[in-house]
Amino acid sequence: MASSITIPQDKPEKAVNHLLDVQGLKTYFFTDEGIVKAVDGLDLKVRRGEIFGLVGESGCGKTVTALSILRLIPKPGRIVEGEIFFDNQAILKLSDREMRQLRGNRISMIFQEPLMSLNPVFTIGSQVAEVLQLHQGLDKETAWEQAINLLDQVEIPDPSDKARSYPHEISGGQAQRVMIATALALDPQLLITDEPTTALDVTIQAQILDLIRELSRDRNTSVILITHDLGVVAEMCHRVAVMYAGRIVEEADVGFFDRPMHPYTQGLIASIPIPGEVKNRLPTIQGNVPDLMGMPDQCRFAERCEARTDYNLNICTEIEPDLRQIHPNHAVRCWLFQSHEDHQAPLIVTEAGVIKRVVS
Amino acid sequence: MSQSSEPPINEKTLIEVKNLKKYFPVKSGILQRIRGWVKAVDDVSFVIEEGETLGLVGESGCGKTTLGRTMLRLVESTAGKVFFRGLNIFELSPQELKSMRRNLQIIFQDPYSSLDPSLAIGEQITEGLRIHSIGDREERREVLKELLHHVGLEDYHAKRYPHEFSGGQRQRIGIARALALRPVFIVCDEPVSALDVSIQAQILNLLKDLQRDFNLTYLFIAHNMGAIEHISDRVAVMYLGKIVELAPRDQLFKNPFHPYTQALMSAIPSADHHRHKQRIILAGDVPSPLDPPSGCRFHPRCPAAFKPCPIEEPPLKEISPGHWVACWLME
Ligand SMILES: Nc1ncnc2c1ncn2[C@@H]1O[C@H](COP(=O)(O)OP(=O)(O)OP(=O)(O)O)[C@@H](O)[C@H]1O
Ligand code: SF4
Ligand SMILES: [Mg+2]
Repeated sequence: MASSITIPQDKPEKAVNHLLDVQGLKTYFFTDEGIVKAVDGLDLKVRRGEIFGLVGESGCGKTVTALSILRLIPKPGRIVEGEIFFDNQAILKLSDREMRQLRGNRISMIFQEPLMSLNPVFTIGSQVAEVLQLHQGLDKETAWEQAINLLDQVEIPDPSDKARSYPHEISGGQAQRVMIATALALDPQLLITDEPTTALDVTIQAQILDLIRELSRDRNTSVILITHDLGVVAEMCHRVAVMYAGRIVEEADVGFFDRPMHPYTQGLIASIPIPGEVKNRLPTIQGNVPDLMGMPDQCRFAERCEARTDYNLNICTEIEPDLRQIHPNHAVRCWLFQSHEDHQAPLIVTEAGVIKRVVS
Repeated sequence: MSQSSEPPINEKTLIEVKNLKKYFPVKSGILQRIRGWVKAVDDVSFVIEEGETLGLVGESGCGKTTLGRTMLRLVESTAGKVFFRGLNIFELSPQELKSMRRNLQIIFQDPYSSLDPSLAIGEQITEGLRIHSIGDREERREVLKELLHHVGLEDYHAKRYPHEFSGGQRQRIGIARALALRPVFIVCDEPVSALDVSIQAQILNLLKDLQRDFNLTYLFIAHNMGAIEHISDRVAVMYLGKIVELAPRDQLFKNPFHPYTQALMSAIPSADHHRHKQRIILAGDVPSPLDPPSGCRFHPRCPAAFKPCPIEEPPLKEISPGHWVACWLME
């Protein structure tokens, strides 16, 4: 699948003009029980026209990341640190009005529950038409015709009839298609989709993913695809970041599924049953997903990490590793690959991308 | 149903489902007139052998959960029979049913809502033992310890309440509760779909271990093909209240015949991007079971539909030993 898509060429990091550049983002929730560090020092760069996957398990901070980029963090949450550049503009410095403009025109978002994003009292046709009137300055009649056109493009059956339906009269898959039609009307530079297919059936999921891929390819739209499904990422994305407990622990081109390097990513990929390869027992990751309240200053995966005990690493429970480049276009946050004062990294990655033990 | 669709019975058969139907009335207006029927399970027949896992896969609303619950008589059936070791479950007296219940258990999808928040989990796990007056207090405490141990929990957990546990742990509690009465047959209704990805494999392994240790028979319901393939011996594929294909696992995954099964398999996104296959993208939505399409219910979305498909319903036929398909392409 990935081979049929042109992957943006690797250029030296400096020369790439990223559409989105998130630096050191921290978004905390100040709850009565304590501070939830939902996103805690996150760096993320998205190129023009690329589909960027953000994967991770429930509660790891994916949605909070998306809402931070849109500056839609609800109380008691707040962005406490960091910078977000969109098309070289520091968006955390924009006024609320300017931010609304940006959200309306250049960044849009599709949520997991499409029915929540549609207004229940207006027909779906009028909701798409309204975007066209506001955004492209079309008159009412042309906007309606154009809206039906877009509904047709996203394969809503009998679009001129269906345009008169209210959101509760259509299925989840159709509602998600209406959201994509709205995104087409907006023609944003960045589309953030938060679990756009999780609530849908598999055969409907395939339709929606196909539409998102087409939209990105035809209009050079950058897409951040948020999901917990590694399979969806492998089929859709050019680059992937894996989140764990508010942090990115691994980031790479999608080909990295061949050679994940972080113990968490390795464990996660190994634990998913692959169709056609039945094993008697599945490898598992021991323990539970950690609580983000009062996270100690150490590797957040340490409690569950078998590599830590295998390699006898004490530093993991003392200091947190950085997200560090270990191979071109491949960064990992793990002490297995980085040294520090008394700690010698036990592994290196060769030029060919093979993990080797350091002999001392 | 035609003669050809009679499931074969032999001495290993534990459960036999025969022409099972469950229709839900759809009412409307102040008079609550019956406006139509949702045919959630519509003439379904199959057998499950002692000690095996039959996987049941299909998209949401196709009737998987209703089938599982009707089989256990947790909801009353509209028509049909379900035999457990030759005894028709639907014909049991309330007294007989109560003792039969010991053999038949269910594990639910949502480990959050299926536990009572106000009761310590130890009491919930042993509730069935008390209802059936099995053992004295001391013996029940021993059983509880064993159960906790079997599902990977600790003794001290018994006194804690559901909110103190993670999703995966709650599912372990639900499994311990289902095991308490030493059942023979368990319906596992989407037991991992509400769990974190890194926890799912733990629970799948646990279910396999318990099956081996207690000689359990499972009906394993899921929409995730990966999990289904991992755990099942045979797999049934359901579409809008009907079984459209049933086969031994490897045969179904290597050689699916029904166009719906083929589409379902091609739609599974795979993390292994070398094995990308040609995707079959089905047009249209899953139709409503209230007013299912005529003939073969899959025909409006089927890429291979031809003349007979909208007219007559294809029978479920055995096309090779143990491999059953309901499709006119097979005729
Ligand atoms: N309004 C809020 N108040 C307090 N905590 C919050 C709030 N919103 C999110 N959080 C916390 O922030 C953390 C990250 O949540 P987030 O919704 O980003 O996770 P996610 O990765 O999107 O998970 P999922 O896969 O379940 O959607 C969680 O611990 C969550 O409980
Ligand atoms: S830093 Fe240590 S504990 Fe963390 S993932 Fe790497 S080896 Fe495991
Ligand atoms: Mg989320």
